[in-house]
Amino acid sequence: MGIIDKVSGVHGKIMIIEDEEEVREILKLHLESAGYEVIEAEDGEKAIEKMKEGSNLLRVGLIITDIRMPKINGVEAIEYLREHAPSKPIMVVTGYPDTDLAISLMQKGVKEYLVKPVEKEKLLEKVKAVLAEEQNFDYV
Amino acid sequence: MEELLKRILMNVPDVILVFDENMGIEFVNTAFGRLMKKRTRDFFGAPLADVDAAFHESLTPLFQRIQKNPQDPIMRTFREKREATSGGYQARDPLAPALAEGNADDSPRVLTLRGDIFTYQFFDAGPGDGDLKIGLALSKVTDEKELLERLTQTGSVSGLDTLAAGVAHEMNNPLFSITGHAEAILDETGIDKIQAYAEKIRGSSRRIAKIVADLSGYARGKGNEEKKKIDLVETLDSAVKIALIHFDENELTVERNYAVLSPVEAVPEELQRIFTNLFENALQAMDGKGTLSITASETGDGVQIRVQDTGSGISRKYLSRIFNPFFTTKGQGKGTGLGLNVVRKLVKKYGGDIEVESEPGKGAIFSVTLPCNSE
Ligand SMILES: Nc1ncnc2c1ncn2[C@@H]1O[C@H](COP(=O)(O)OP(=O)(O)OP(=O)(O)O)[C@@H](O)[C@H]1O
Ligand SMILES: [Mg+2]
Repeated sequence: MGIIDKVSGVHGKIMIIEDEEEVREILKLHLESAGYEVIEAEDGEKAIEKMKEGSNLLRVGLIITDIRMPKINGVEAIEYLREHAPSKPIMVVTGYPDTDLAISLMQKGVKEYLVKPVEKEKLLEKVKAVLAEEQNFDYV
Repeated sequence: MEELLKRILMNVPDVILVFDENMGIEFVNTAFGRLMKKRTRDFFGAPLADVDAAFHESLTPLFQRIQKNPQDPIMRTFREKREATSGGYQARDPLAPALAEGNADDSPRVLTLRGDIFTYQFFDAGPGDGDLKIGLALSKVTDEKELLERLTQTGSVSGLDTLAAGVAHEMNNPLFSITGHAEAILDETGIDKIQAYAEKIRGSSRRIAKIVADLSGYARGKGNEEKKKIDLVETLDSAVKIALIHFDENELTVERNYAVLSPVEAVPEELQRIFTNLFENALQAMDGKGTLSITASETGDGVQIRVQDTGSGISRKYLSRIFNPFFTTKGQGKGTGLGLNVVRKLVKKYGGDIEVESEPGKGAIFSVTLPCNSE
Protein backbone atom coordinates (compact mmCIF):
# COMPACT_ATOMS: atom_id res chain seq x y z
CA MET A 1 0.00 0.00 0.00
CA GLY A 2 1.44 3.22 -1.21
CA ILE A 3 5.06 2.15 -1.08
CA ILE A 4 5.95 3.35 -4.54
CA ASP A 5 4.60 6.86 -4.31
CA LYS A 6 6.11 7.21 -0.91
CA VAL A 7 9.63 6.46 -2.01
CA SER A 8 9.48 8.08 -5.42
CA GLY A 9 10.14 11.51 -4.04
CA VAL A 10 8.62 13.15 -7.11
CA HIS A 11 5.75 15.21 -5.84
CA GLY A 12 5.29 17.78 -8.54
CA LYS A 13 1.59 17.53 -9.25
CA ILE A 14 -1.40 18.68 -7.31
CA MET A 15 -4.81 17.11 -7.86
CA ILE A 16 -7.78 19.45 -7.52
CA ILE A 17 -11.18 17.90 -6.89
CA GLU A 18 -13.97 20.42 -7.15
CA ASP A 19 -17.30 20.38 -8.95
CA GLU A 20 -17.46 24.10 -9.64
CA GLU A 21 -15.50 25.13 -12.67
CA GLU A 22 -14.92 28.69 -11.49
CA VAL A 23 -13.40 27.47 -8.27
CA ARG A 24 -11.22 24.95 -10.06
CA GLU A 25 -10.02 27.71 -12.30
CA ILE A 26 -8.99 29.93 -9.41
CA LEU A 27 -7.19 27.14 -7.60
CA LYS A 28 -5.42 26.31 -10.83
CA LEU A 29 -4.43 29.94 -11.49
CA HIS A 30 -3.03 30.32 -8.00
CA LEU A 31 -1.15 27.04 -7.97
CA GLU A 32 0.26 27.38 -11.46
CA SER A 33 1.47 30.88 -10.69
CA ALA A 34 3.57 29.28 -7.97
CA GLY A 35 4.97 26.72 -10.38
CA TYR A 36 2.92 23.68 -9.47
CA GLU A 37 1.53 21.36 -12.08
CA VAL A 38 -2.20 20.81 -11.68
CA ILE A 39 -4.60 18.00 -12.56
CA GLU A 40 -8.33 18.64 -12.24
CA ALA A 41 -11.27 16.39 -11.53
CA GLU A 42 -14.95 17.09 -10.93
CA ASP A 43 -15.46 14.47 -8.28
CA GLY A 44 -13.69 11.89 -6.17
CA GLU A 45 -14.36 9.04 -8.55
CA LYS A 46 -12.93 10.87 -11.55
CA ALA A 47 -9.98 11.90 -9.45
CA ILE A 48 -9.10 8.32 -8.66
CA GLU A 49 -9.48 7.42 -12.35
CA LYS A 50 -7.15 10.20 -13.37
CA MET A 51 -4.78 9.30 -10.63
CA LYS A 52 -4.36 5.90 -12.19
CA GLU A 53 -3.45 7.34 -15.59
CA GLY A 54 0.20 7.36 -16.64
CA SER A 55 2.59 8.34 -13.92
CA ASN A 56 0.04 10.37 -11.99
CA LEU A 57 -0.09 7.97 -9.10
CA LEU A 58 3.59 8.56 -8.63
CA ARG A 59 3.61 12.22 -9.28
CA VAL A 60 0.59 13.57 -7.44
CA GLY A 61 1.92 14.79 -4.14
CA LEU A 62 -1.15 16.52 -2.78
CA ILE A 63 -4.90 16.38 -3.18
CA ILE A 64 -6.97 19.52 -2.71
CA THR A 65 -10.67 18.79 -2.48
CA ASP A 66 -14.02 20.36 -1.75
CA ILE A 67 -16.29 18.38 0.51
CA ARG A 68 -19.62 18.64 -1.17
CA MET A 69 -19.87 17.38 -4.67
CA PRO A 70 -22.17 15.31 -6.84
CA LYS A 71 -22.06 11.53 -6.64
CA ILE A 72 -19.94 11.30 -3.55
CA ASN A 73 -20.53 13.83 -0.82
CA GLY A 74 -17.49 15.41 0.65
CA VAL A 75 -17.08 13.38 3.77
CA GLU A 76 -17.47 10.19 1.81
CA ALA A 77 -15.03 11.55 -0.73
CA ILE A 78 -12.41 11.94 1.96
CA GLU A 79 -12.97 8.39 3.14
CA TYR A 80 -12.83 7.20 -0.43
CA LEU A 81 -9.58 9.03 -1.07
CA ARG A 82 -8.05 7.80 2.16
CA GLU A 83 -8.88 4.30 1.06
CA HIS A 84 -7.77 4.56 -2.56
CA ALA A 85 -4.79 6.83 -2.20
CA PRO A 86 -3.85 6.37 1.42
CA SER A 87 -0.47 8.01 1.32
CA LYS A 88 -1.53 11.23 -0.44
CA PRO A 89 -1.90 14.22 1.84
CA ILE A 90 -5.34 15.84 1.56
CA MET A 91 -6.29 19.48 1.99
CA VAL A 92 -9.90 20.53 2.16
CA VAL A 93 -10.94 23.84 0.63
CA THR A 94 -14.60 24.37 1.30
CA GLY A 95 -17.43 26.81 1.76
CA TYR A 96 -18.33 25.59 5.26
CA PRO A 97 -16.61 27.24 8.17
CA ASP A 98 -17.57 24.40 10.52
CA THR A 99 -15.17 23.54 13.31
CA ASP A 100 -16.74 20.24 14.28
CA LEU A 101 -16.63 19.02 10.74
CA ALA A 102 -13.09 20.25 10.38
CA ILE A 103 -11.91 18.45 13.48
CA SER A 104 -13.61 15.31 12.44
CA LEU A 105 -12.04 15.44 8.99
CA MET A 106 -8.63 16.21 10.35
CA GLN A 107 -8.91 13.19 12.57
CA LYS A 108 -9.51 11.23 9.42
CA GLY A 109 -6.14 12.39 8.22
CA VAL A 110 -6.97 15.62 6.41
CA LYS A 111 -3.99 17.97 6.72
CA GLU A 112 -5.63 21.34 6.35
CA TYR A 113 -9.15 22.70 6.30
CA LEU A 114 -9.33 26.01 4.51
CA VAL A 115 -12.48 28.04 4.10
CA LYS A 116 -13.35 29.83 0.88
CA PRO A 117 -12.69 32.53 -0.04
CA VAL A 118 -9.16 31.63 1.03
CA GLU A 119 -6.54 34.13 -0.05
CA LYS A 120 -3.92 33.20 -2.55
CA GLU A 121 -1.02 33.79 -0.23
CA LYS A 122 -2.46 31.65 2.52
CA LEU A 123 -3.35 28.87 0.14
CA LEU A 124 0.17 28.74 -1.26
CA GLU A 125 1.70 28.89 2.17
CA LYS A 126 -0.38 25.92 3.37
CA VAL A 127 0.31 23.93 0.22
CA LYS A 128 4.02 24.45 0.66
CA ALA A 129 3.87 23.41 4.29
CA VAL A 130 1.90 20.26 3.61
CA LEU A 131 4.19 19.24 0.78
CA ALA A 132 7.24 19.83 2.91
CA GLU A 133 5.91 17.88 5.83
CA GLU A 134 7.15 14.37 6.05
CA GLN A 135 4.46 11.90 5.22
CA ASN A 136 2.89 9.98 8.00
CA PHE A 137 4.12 6.56 8.78
CA ASP A 138 1.40 4.19 7.66
CA TYR A 139 0.97 0.81 9.18
CA VAL A 140 -1.41 -1.87 8.08
CA MET B 1 14.68 -12.17 12.61
CA GLU B 2 12.72 -11.94 15.83
CA GLU B 3 15.22 -9.42 17.10
CA LEU B 4 14.71 -7.33 13.98
CA LEU B 5 10.92 -7.45 14.28
CA LYS B 6 11.15 -6.41 17.85
CA ARG B 7 13.40 -3.49 16.98
CA ILE B 8 10.94 -2.34 14.35
CA LEU B 9 8.02 -2.64 16.75
CA MET B 10 9.97 -0.76 19.37
CA ASN B 11 10.71 2.13 17.07
CA VAL B 12 7.61 2.80 15.01
CA PRO B 13 5.92 6.08 15.93
CA ASP B 14 2.59 4.34 16.53
CA VAL B 15 1.85 3.08 20.02
CA ILE B 16 1.80 -0.70 20.24
CA LEU B 17 0.72 -2.82 23.18
CA VAL B 18 0.25 -6.55 23.60
CA PHE B 19 -2.03 -7.87 26.33
CA ASP B 20 -2.75 -11.25 27.81
CA GLU B 21 -6.33 -12.42 28.16
CA ASN B 22 -6.83 -10.56 31.42
CA MET B 23 -5.65 -7.22 30.13
CA GLY B 24 -2.28 -7.61 31.72
CA ILE B 25 0.49 -5.92 29.73
CA GLU B 26 2.95 -8.25 27.99
CA PHE B 27 4.68 -5.78 25.75
CA VAL B 28 4.71 -2.07 25.04
CA ASN B 29 6.89 -0.18 22.58
CA THR B 30 8.92 2.99 22.99
CA ALA B 31 6.11 5.19 21.72
CA PHE B 32 3.98 4.05 24.64
CA GLY B 33 6.80 4.60 27.09
CA ARG B 34 7.33 8.09 25.76
CA LEU B 35 3.64 8.87 26.08
CA MET B 36 3.53 7.64 29.68
CA LYS B 37 6.96 9.10 30.46
CA LYS B 38 8.36 5.82 31.76
CA ARG B 39 10.69 3.11 30.56
CA THR B 40 8.96 0.40 28.60
CA ARG B 41 10.16 -2.43 30.78
CA ASP B 42 8.43 -0.88 33.79
CA PHE B 43 5.17 -1.91 32.20
CA PHE B 44 5.86 -5.54 31.45
CA GLY B 45 3.61 -7.74 33.56
CA ALA B 46 1.56 -4.87 34.99
CA PRO B 47 -2.24 -4.99 34.88
CA LEU B 48 -3.57 -2.26 32.59
CA ALA B 49 -5.96 -1.16 35.34
CA ASP B 50 -2.97 -0.05 37.43
CA VAL B 51 -1.24 1.67 34.56
CA ASP B 52 -4.11 3.86 33.40
CA ALA B 53 -7.55 3.36 34.92
CA ALA B 54 -9.44 5.47 32.39
CA PHE B 55 -7.86 3.73 29.44
CA HIS B 56 -8.56 0.38 31.08
CA GLU B 57 -12.18 1.35 31.39
CA SER B 58 -12.57 2.34 27.77
CA LEU B 59 -10.87 -0.84 26.57
CA THR B 60 -12.83 -3.23 28.79
CA PRO B 61 -15.96 -3.51 26.62
CA LEU B 62 -13.81 -4.01 23.53
CA PHE B 63 -11.89 -6.80 25.23
CA GLN B 64 -15.11 -8.43 26.28
CA ARG B 65 -16.20 -8.48 22.67
CA ILE B 66 -12.96 -10.05 21.57
CA GLN B 67 -13.10 -12.65 24.34
CA LYS B 68 -16.61 -13.57 23.33
CA ASN B 69 -15.71 -13.72 19.69
CA PRO B 70 -12.07 -13.60 18.58
CA GLN B 71 -13.35 -12.93 15.06
CA ASP B 72 -15.19 -9.80 16.12
CA PRO B 73 -15.02 -7.08 13.43
CA ILE B 74 -12.84 -4.89 15.63
CA MET B 75 -10.18 -7.58 15.36
CA ARG B 76 -10.18 -7.85 11.64
CA THR B 77 -11.38 -4.65 10.02
CA PHE B 78 -8.86 -2.08 8.98
CA ARG B 79 -9.24 1.13 10.79
CA GLU B 80 -10.19 3.19 7.74
CA LYS B 81 -13.04 0.81 6.98
CA ARG B 82 -14.26 0.84 10.50
CA GLU B 83 -14.15 4.59 10.69
CA ALA B 84 -16.28 4.79 7.61
CA THR B 85 -19.00 2.55 8.98
CA SER B 86 -19.10 3.03 12.71
CA GLY B 87 -21.78 5.17 14.25
CA GLY B 88 -21.43 7.85 16.85
CA TYR B 89 -18.59 10.24 16.41
CA GLN B 90 -18.55 11.01 12.73
CA ALA B 91 -17.87 13.71 10.26
CA ARG B 92 -21.08 14.90 8.68
CA ASP B 93 -21.62 17.15 5.77
CA PRO B 94 -24.04 19.66 7.34
CA LEU B 95 -26.17 19.77 4.21
CA ALA B 96 -26.16 16.08 3.45
CA PRO B 97 -29.42 14.26 4.04
CA ALA B 98 -29.80 13.16 7.62
CA LEU B 99 -29.43 9.41 7.57
CA ALA B 100 -31.18 6.86 9.71
CA GLU B 101 -29.28 6.42 12.91
CA GLY B 102 -28.03 3.22 14.46
CA ASN B 103 -25.25 1.05 13.16
CA ALA B 104 -24.18 -2.53 13.38
CA ASP B 105 -20.69 -1.81 14.61
CA ASP B 106 -20.96 0.46 17.59
CA SER B 107 -17.29 0.41 18.54
CA PRO B 108 -15.84 3.85 19.19
CA ARG B 109 -14.04 5.47 16.29
CA VAL B 110 -11.22 6.76 18.40
CA LEU B 111 -9.70 6.08 21.81
CA THR B 112 -8.38 8.66 24.21
CA LEU B 113 -5.22 8.10 26.20
CA ARG B 114 -3.60 10.75 28.34
CA GLY B 115 -5.51 13.52 26.55
CA ASP B 116 -4.45 12.47 23.07
CA ILE B 117 -6.79 10.99 20.51
CA PHE B 118 -5.92 7.81 18.66
CA THR B 119 -7.39 5.69 15.93
CA TYR B 120 -6.82 2.08 16.82
CA GLN B 121 -6.47 -1.41 15.48
CA PHE B 122 -6.64 -4.62 17.44
CA PHE B 123 -4.70 -7.56 16.12
CA ASP B 124 -4.20 -11.17 17.06
CA ALA B 125 -0.78 -11.40 18.69
CA GLY B 126 -1.28 -14.93 20.02
CA PRO B 127 1.46 -17.50 19.60
CA GLY B 128 -1.13 -19.96 18.33
CA ASP B 129 -0.94 -22.42 21.24
CA GLY B 130 -4.33 -21.53 22.61
CA ASP B 131 -3.46 -18.51 24.72
CA LEU B 132 -5.17 -15.43 23.37
CA LYS B 133 -2.76 -12.54 23.11
CA ILE B 134 -4.30 -9.33 21.97
CA GLY B 135 -2.32 -6.65 20.22
CA LEU B 136 -3.40 -3.05 20.03
CA ALA B 137 -1.89 -0.43 17.74
CA LEU B 138 -2.73 3.21 18.33
CA SER B 139 -2.11 5.91 15.79
CA LYS B 140 -2.19 9.45 17.06
CA VAL B 141 -4.46 11.97 15.49
CA THR B 142 -3.78 15.59 16.13
CA ASP B 143 -4.59 16.81 19.58
CA GLU B 144 -8.10 18.19 19.58
CA LYS B 145 -7.20 21.37 21.41
CA GLU B 146 -4.39 22.11 19.06
CA LEU B 147 -6.75 21.56 16.17
CA LEU B 148 -9.27 23.96 17.63
CA GLU B 149 -6.61 26.60 18.00
CA ARG B 150 -5.41 26.18 14.47
CA LEU B 151 -8.92 26.37 13.16
CA THR B 152 -9.86 29.49 15.04
CA GLN B 153 -6.77 31.06 13.56
CA THR B 154 -7.85 30.13 10.06
CA GLY B 155 -11.14 31.86 10.69
CA SER B 156 -13.45 28.90 11.14
CA VAL B 157 -16.45 29.34 13.37
CA SER B 158 -18.24 26.71 15.36
CA GLY B 159 -21.89 25.93 15.75
CA LEU B 160 -22.99 26.65 12.26
CA ASP B 161 -26.69 26.09 11.82
CA THR B 162 -28.35 24.94 8.69
CA LEU B 163 -29.06 28.44 7.44
CA ALA B 164 -25.51 29.58 7.81
CA ALA B 165 -24.20 26.36 6.29
CA GLY B 166 -26.49 26.76 3.31
CA VAL B 167 -25.67 30.40 2.81
CA ALA B 168 -21.99 29.70 3.28
CA HIS B 169 -22.11 26.98 0.68
CA GLU B 170 -24.01 29.07 -1.83
CA MET B 171 -22.01 32.24 -1.33
CA ASN B 172 -18.46 31.16 -0.73
CA ASN B 173 -17.87 29.63 -4.11
CA PRO B 174 -18.69 32.80 -6.07
CA LEU B 175 -16.90 34.86 -3.42
CA PHE B 176 -13.82 32.76 -3.92
CA SER B 177 -14.10 33.28 -7.64
CA ILE B 178 -14.26 37.04 -7.06
CA THR B 179 -11.33 37.34 -4.70
CA GLY B 180 -9.33 34.85 -6.74
CA HIS B 181 -9.83 36.62 -10.03
CA ALA B 182 -9.10 39.95 -8.39
CA GLU B 183 -5.82 38.56 -7.11
CA ALA B 184 -5.06 37.23 -10.55
CA ILE B 185 -5.68 40.66 -12.03
CA LEU B 186 -3.25 42.19 -9.57
CA ASP B 187 -0.54 39.86 -10.87
CA GLU B 188 -1.47 40.19 -14.54
CA THR B 189 -0.35 42.71 -17.16
CA GLY B 190 -1.99 41.34 -20.30
CA ILE B 191 -5.10 43.36 -20.98
CA ASP B 192 -6.97 40.45 -22.56
CA LYS B 193 -6.59 38.31 -19.51
CA ILE B 194 -7.46 41.15 -17.20
CA GLN B 195 -10.68 41.73 -19.09
CA ALA B 196 -11.54 38.05 -19.02
CA TYR B 197 -10.98 37.93 -15.26
CA ALA B 198 -13.06 41.07 -14.74
CA GLU B 199 -15.87 39.42 -16.66
CA LYS B 200 -15.72 36.46 -14.28
CA ILE B 201 -15.87 38.80 -11.32
CA ARG B 202 -18.97 40.42 -12.71
CA GLY B 203 -20.60 37.03 -13.31
CA SER B 204 -19.90 35.81 -9.80
CA SER B 205 -21.08 39.07 -8.26
CA ARG B 206 -24.36 38.74 -10.10
CA ARG B 207 -24.72 35.24 -8.82
CA ILE B 208 -24.36 36.43 -5.27
CA ALA B 209 -26.84 39.22 -5.87
CA LYS B 210 -29.33 36.67 -7.10
CA ILE B 211 -28.89 34.44 -4.07
CA VAL B 212 -29.44 37.41 -1.79
CA ALA B 213 -32.57 38.33 -3.68
CA ASP B 214 -33.87 34.76 -3.57
CA LEU B 215 -33.30 34.57 0.14
CA SER B 216 -34.79 37.86 1.17
CA GLY B 217 -37.25 39.11 -1.33
CA TYR B 218 -39.16 36.41 -3.16
CA ALA B 219 -39.56 39.10 -5.73
CA ARG B 220 -38.89 36.46 -8.31
CA GLY B 221 -39.45 37.58 -11.85
CA LYS B 222 -41.46 40.66 -12.58
CA GLY B 223 -42.01 42.08 -9.14
CA ASN B 224 -45.06 44.01 -10.30
CA GLU B 225 -47.65 41.43 -9.34
CA GLU B 226 -50.65 43.01 -7.74
CA LYS B 227 -52.88 41.62 -5.08
CA LYS B 228 -56.20 40.34 -6.34
CA LYS B 229 -59.22 38.67 -4.92
CA ILE B 230 -58.55 35.07 -5.72
CA ASP B 231 -60.79 32.04 -5.86
CA LEU B 232 -59.11 29.56 -3.59
CA VAL B 233 -60.61 26.48 -5.21
CA GLU B 234 -59.13 27.40 -8.56
CA THR B 235 -55.76 28.03 -6.97
CA LEU B 236 -55.79 24.73 -5.12
CA ASP B 237 -56.71 22.81 -8.25
CA SER B 238 -54.03 24.32 -10.40
CA ALA B 239 -51.49 23.82 -7.60
CA VAL B 240 -52.41 20.13 -7.50
CA LYS B 241 -51.93 19.91 -11.24
CA ILE B 242 -48.51 21.48 -11.08
CA ALA B 243 -47.42 19.28 -8.19
CA LEU B 244 -48.62 16.15 -9.95
CA ILE B 245 -46.53 16.76 -13.04
CA HIS B 246 -43.68 14.63 -11.74
CA PHE B 247 -45.81 11.77 -10.44
CA ASP B 248 -47.80 8.88 -11.79
CA GLU B 249 -51.45 9.69 -11.15
CA ASN B 250 -52.52 6.05 -11.27
CA GLU B 251 -51.01 5.27 -7.93
CA LEU B 252 -52.29 8.39 -6.24
CA THR B 253 -55.62 9.40 -4.87
CA VAL B 254 -56.35 13.06 -4.40
CA GLU B 255 -59.30 13.78 -2.12
CA ARG B 256 -60.76 17.25 -2.28
CA ASN B 257 -63.04 18.58 0.39
CA TYR B 258 -63.89 22.17 -0.34
CA ALA B 259 -66.56 23.98 1.62
CA VAL B 260 -67.91 27.20 0.09
CA LEU B 261 -65.12 29.71 0.33
CA SER B 262 -64.68 33.44 0.36
CA PRO B 263 -62.02 34.78 -1.95
CA VAL B 264 -58.55 35.48 -0.58
CA GLU B 265 -56.70 38.64 -1.39
CA ALA B 266 -53.19 37.82 -2.53
CA VAL B 267 -50.71 37.85 -5.40
CA PRO B 268 -51.94 34.85 -7.43
CA GLU B 269 -48.50 33.35 -8.06
CA GLU B 270 -47.61 33.56 -4.41
CA LEU B 271 -50.77 31.93 -3.23
CA GLN B 272 -50.27 29.13 -5.68
CA ARG B 273 -46.70 28.73 -4.62
CA ILE B 274 -47.76 28.08 -1.04
CA PHE B 275 -49.81 25.11 -2.10
CA THR B 276 -47.61 23.65 -4.81
CA ASN B 277 -44.79 23.51 -2.28
CA LEU B 278 -46.97 21.76 0.29
CA PHE B 279 -48.39 19.33 -2.26
CA GLU B 280 -45.00 18.54 -3.71
CA ASN B 281 -43.68 17.71 -0.26
CA ALA B 282 -46.69 15.49 0.42
CA LEU B 283 -46.31 13.62 -2.85
CA GLN B 284 -42.59 13.21 -2.33
CA ALA B 285 -43.16 11.91 1.20
CA MET B 286 -45.54 9.28 -0.21
CA ASP B 287 -43.06 8.36 -2.89
CA GLY B 288 -45.85 8.81 -5.40
CA LYS B 289 -48.18 6.24 -3.81
CA GLY B 290 -50.97 7.04 -1.38
CA THR B 291 -53.66 9.56 -0.65
CA LEU B 292 -53.38 13.32 -0.60
CA SER B 293 -56.37 14.94 1.03
CA ILE B 294 -57.01 18.62 0.77
CA THR B 295 -59.63 20.10 3.04
CA ALA B 296 -60.63 23.74 2.82
CA SER B 297 -63.08 25.39 5.16
CA GLU B 298 -64.18 28.78 6.46
CA THR B 299 -63.01 29.84 9.89
CA GLY B 300 -65.07 32.94 10.56
CA ASP B 301 -62.66 35.65 9.49
CA GLY B 302 -60.71 33.53 7.07
CA VAL B 303 -60.06 30.14 5.58
CA GLN B 304 -58.22 27.06 6.69
CA ILE B 305 -56.59 24.62 4.29
CA ARG B 306 -55.43 21.26 5.57
CA VAL B 307 -53.01 19.23 3.49
CA GLN B 308 -52.79 15.65 4.65
CA ASP B 309 -50.75 12.80 3.23
CA THR B 310 -50.18 9.12 3.95
CA GLY B 311 -46.42 9.34 3.55
CA SER B 312 -43.38 8.79 5.71
CA GLY B 313 -44.23 11.43 8.28
CA ILE B 314 -41.70 13.61 10.05
CA SER B 315 -39.63 12.43 12.96
CA ARG B 316 -40.03 14.39 16.17
CA LYS B 317 -36.50 15.70 16.14
CA TYR B 318 -36.94 17.31 12.73
CA LEU B 319 -40.34 18.87 13.41
CA SER B 320 -38.86 22.03 14.84
CA ARG B 321 -36.44 22.40 11.96
CA ILE B 322 -38.42 21.78 8.79
CA PHE B 323 -39.25 25.44 8.29
CA ASN B 324 -35.61 26.46 8.51
CA PRO B 325 -34.09 27.52 5.23
CA PHE B 326 -31.90 24.80 3.69
CA PHE B 327 -33.17 22.12 6.03
CA THR B 328 -33.77 19.04 3.94
CA THR B 329 -33.72 15.30 4.38
CA LYS B 330 -33.75 14.77 0.65
CA GLY B 331 -30.69 13.80 -1.33
CA GLN B 332 -28.51 16.25 -3.14
CA GLY B 333 -30.19 17.60 -6.23
CA LYS B 334 -33.60 16.53 -4.92
CA GLY B 335 -34.28 19.16 -2.30
CA THR B 336 -32.76 22.46 -1.36
CA GLY B 337 -34.80 22.82 1.81
CA LEU B 338 -36.26 26.18 0.85
CA GLY B 339 -39.81 24.96 0.11
CA LEU B 340 -41.35 25.21 3.56
CA ASN B 341 -39.38 28.30 4.41
CA VAL B 342 -40.93 30.06 1.44
CA VAL B 343 -44.35 28.75 2.41
CA ARG B 344 -44.08 30.10 5.90
CA LYS B 345 -42.77 33.47 4.75
CA LEU B 346 -45.63 33.88 2.33
CA VAL B 347 -48.27 32.74 4.80
CA LYS B 348 -46.96 35.21 7.38
CA LYS B 349 -46.85 37.92 4.78
CA TYR B 350 -50.62 37.55 4.33
CA GLY B 351 -51.20 37.60 8.06
CA GLY B 352 -51.84 33.87 8.25
CA ASP B 353 -50.31 30.95 10.07
CA ILE B 354 -49.08 27.44 9.39
CA GLU B 355 -48.99 24.43 11.67
CA VAL B 356 -47.79 20.89 11.30
CA GLU B 357 -48.74 17.61 12.94
CA SER B 358 -47.06 14.36 12.16
CA GLU B 359 -46.33 10.91 13.41
CA PRO B 360 -43.49 9.06 11.74
CA GLY B 361 -44.89 6.39 9.45
CA LYS B 362 -48.38 7.87 9.53
CA GLY B 363 -48.06 10.85 7.27
CA ALA B 364 -48.21 14.55 7.96
CA ILE B 365 -50.82 17.28 8.15
CA PHE B 366 -49.99 20.88 7.32
CA SER B 367 -52.72 23.41 8.19
CA VAL B 368 -52.62 26.87 6.71
CA THR B 369 -54.94 29.62 7.88
CA LEU B 370 -55.35 32.79 5.87
CA PRO B 371 -57.45 35.84 6.68
CA CYS B 372 -59.95 36.82 4.00
CA ASN B 373 -59.81 40.57 4.42
CA SER B 374 -56.14 41.16 4.81
CA GLU B 375 -56.42 44.94 4.71
N1 LIG C 1 -45.43 16.12 3.88
C1 LIG C 1 -44.24 15.80 4.41
N2 LIG C 1 -44.03 14.56 4.89
C2 LIG C 1 -42.82 14.23 5.43
N3 LIG C 1 -41.78 15.09 5.53
C3 LIG C 1 -41.95 16.33 5.08
C4 LIG C 1 -43.17 16.76 4.50
N4 LIG C 1 -43.03 18.05 4.15
C5 LIG C 1 -41.79 18.40 4.48
N5 LIG C 1 -41.11 17.39 5.03
C6 LIG C 1 -39.75 17.39 5.56
O1 LIG C 1 -39.31 18.74 5.68
C7 LIG C 1 -38.13 18.95 4.95
C8 LIG C 1 -38.10 20.37 4.43
O2 LIG C 1 -39.08 20.56 3.46
P1 LIG C 1 -38.89 21.70 2.38
O3 LIG C 1 -40.06 21.70 1.47
O4 LIG C 1 -38.56 22.96 3.10
O5 LIG C 1 -37.58 21.27 1.62
P2 LIG C 1 -37.38 20.09 0.58
O6 LIG C 1 -38.70 19.56 0.13
O7 LIG C 1 -36.46 19.11 1.20
O8 LIG C 1 -36.63 20.82 -0.60
P3 LIG C 1 -37.29 21.84 -1.64
O9 LIG C 1 -38.71 22.05 -1.25
O10 LIG C 1 -36.47 23.08 -1.50
O11 LIG C 1 -37.14 21.18 -2.95
C9 LIG C 1 -38.15 17.88 3.88
O12 LIG C 1 -36.85 17.57 3.43
C10 LIG C 1 -38.79 16.72 4.61
O13 LIG C 1 -37.88 16.04 5.41
MG1 LIG D 1 -40.19 20.84 -0.57
